[in-house]
Amino acid sequence: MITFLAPQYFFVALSAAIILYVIYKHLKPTRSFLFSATMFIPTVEKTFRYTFPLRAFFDFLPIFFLTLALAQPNKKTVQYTVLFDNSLSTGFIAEPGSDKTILDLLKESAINFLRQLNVGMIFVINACTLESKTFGSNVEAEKHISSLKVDSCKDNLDNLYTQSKGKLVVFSDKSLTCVNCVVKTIRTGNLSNITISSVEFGKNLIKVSVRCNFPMRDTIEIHGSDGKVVSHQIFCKDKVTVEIETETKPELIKLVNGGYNKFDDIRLLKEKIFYDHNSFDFLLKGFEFSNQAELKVKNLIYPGQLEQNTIYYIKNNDHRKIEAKIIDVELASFLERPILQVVGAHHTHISLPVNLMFSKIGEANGSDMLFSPSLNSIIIPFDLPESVNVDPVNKVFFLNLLDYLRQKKQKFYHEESFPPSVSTTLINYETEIQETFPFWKNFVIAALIAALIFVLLTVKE
Amino acid sequence: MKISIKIDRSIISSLRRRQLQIDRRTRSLDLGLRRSLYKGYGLEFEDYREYTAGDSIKHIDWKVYGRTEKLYLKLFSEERRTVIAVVLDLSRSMFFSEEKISHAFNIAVGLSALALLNRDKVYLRLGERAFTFDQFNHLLTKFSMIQLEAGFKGFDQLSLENLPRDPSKVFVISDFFEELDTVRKNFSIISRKQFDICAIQILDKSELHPDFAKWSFVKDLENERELPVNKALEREYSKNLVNHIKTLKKLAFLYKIRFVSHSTNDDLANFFLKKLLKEKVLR
Repeated sequence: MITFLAPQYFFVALSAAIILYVIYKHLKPTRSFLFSATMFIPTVEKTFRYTFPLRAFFDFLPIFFLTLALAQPNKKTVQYTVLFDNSLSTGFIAEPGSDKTILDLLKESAINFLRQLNVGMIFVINACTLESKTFGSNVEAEKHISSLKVDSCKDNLDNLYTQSKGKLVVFSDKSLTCVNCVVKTIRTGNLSNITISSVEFGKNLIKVSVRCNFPMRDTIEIHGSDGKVVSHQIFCKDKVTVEIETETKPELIKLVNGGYNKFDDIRLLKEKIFYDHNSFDFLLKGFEFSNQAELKVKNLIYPGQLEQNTIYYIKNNDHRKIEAKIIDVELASFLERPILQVVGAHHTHISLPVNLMFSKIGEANGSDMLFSPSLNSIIIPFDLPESVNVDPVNKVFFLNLLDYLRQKKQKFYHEESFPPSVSTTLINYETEIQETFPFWKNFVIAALIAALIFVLLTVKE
Repeated sequence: MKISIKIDRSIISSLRRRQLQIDRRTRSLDLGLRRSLYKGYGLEFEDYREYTAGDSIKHIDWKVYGRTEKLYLKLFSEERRTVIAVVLDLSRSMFFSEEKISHAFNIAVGLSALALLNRDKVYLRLGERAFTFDQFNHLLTKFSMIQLEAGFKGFDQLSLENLPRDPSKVFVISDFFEELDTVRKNFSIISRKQFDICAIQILDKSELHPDFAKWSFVKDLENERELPVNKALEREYSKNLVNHIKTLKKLAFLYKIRFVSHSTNDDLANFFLKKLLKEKVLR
């Protein structure tokens, strides 16, 4: 049996070849013709006698070649785990002047790879979210990969190898080494980069931090909602932070010479909270990064006013209203069971007693990552506005609000945005995937030619 | 292998005014129209002989006596009927096509009819069966419709040595698809008897120009040997056939045998009235 042929193609091709050959053979009578003057026919038989096995062999040859010509290679049915790196660094533009990011190239590469496969199961692991999805066909997997966007995480792919099932194929912008896996790496060779690493908003003051990997000059422009543009020249050696005064409401903060990262679909939130005694009016400002040198500020007005007697717990944009029995700490004193007591509120964090909070915060967050063993308290790592009157009652609201904010809070600067300065090629495909019979196309063409030659020779006979 | 054949009477009709050209004098004792070796009473003067007692005085040439004063008798060539032998090869190869055996049989019958019309006696051998005819009507009655059956015996087994005594003319009708040594041997046998022999070769048009492209294999009619064929062999085949015919002609010349070839492409009337006339078999 020809192992490289797909069985379904093989049998179809074999049937087709037999039918064609039978039709062909019927065109020419195979029965011997009675002839009187055989003595004048050159005696081929003396040198080449057609015995039955030999004739059967020659009958088989065109069928064999036709089968090969019509056949398709067998594709192994295996399980694949596609570890797809969509970390922040993959948003980097692959080539200066190009619109395509490394992520786009990785997607294309992954889709091309999947189209070659005839797999039973595909597991796609998102390197950022660690989310693993299972797909029964490569079409579904392709759709999923197409929909992947740059995520603002720092990848640590090495730890994900253990999650893989079947064959592991890694698509990343990093040169990785792993055993029994295929790594497809696409990298950029553009070494210089400058980017806005963080932005803080104060009253008529915007604090912009910029990072660069080579000393360079650039200009920060702040476009206001009234159309005014404030420019500020900077010289960045490695990192520079500048405070820019502006009276207008900023809508766009950008570096003129730009970086090369592109995050069209990333919406990061940086939050400021405005507070007065009676109610919490808080404004969430959305920052849309069209690339890392550009920051578009969008006003996302979140519920304008919170009821004081309500604890809002918001998670994953699922706005849920949780009725709380006791909200006010003062009211809590009338109850035997303290619900929430704020130990201290500072401009940098809110401290809460541990014993109190685990049940509630832990439940709300699903994690205890805010717990600080050294301080023996829950730390809300958030800068409160100076104007906020630190009131324990208010902290209840803060707590819930900040829980939401904590979840939404994103760092948009990552160290890996700066590619290592070792790559010199723009795009480097390190590994080619060859799961199928590698030379089947050449083989099929050769078989087709052989079949044609054989048929032509037979026709001539 | 049997084939029913009908005599082509139109051929026989066209031969009524023709005669077989026979140079050899017959030794037959039957009276006829051919010059014989016997001298006696006839129409054609042959020689003189001195008169001996007992001879009839009716044939004394008195003019010679007047000049020489000796009695001489005038001798005439006696006219006898001669025997024409026609031998038709009925080996399997002759049955390659109905047309081929039909042409061969009609030539045999035509020659026999011609001989009978010339008041000769005919010894006709069809394969292993032999017939003797001395009347034209008998021939037509016998062969108006005949079923011929092929035998395995080829030219080699024609038993030419067993022909009737001293035929004036022997026609051998065959395709001569035999090994040349066999042909040589047979030609040698019959030429030793000093017969006046005419070999007529019958070839089918498909034998002259076979279309091997249509066939994958051919099987010999006689020895049933199977051979693969292809179009590429056609040229080689034609070359071998032409060489064979050339050699046959050379052998015929060597053994003083008149050799005439006929193809089923040709018309039978043409064969008799043009080819045989040209070869001086007829006059």
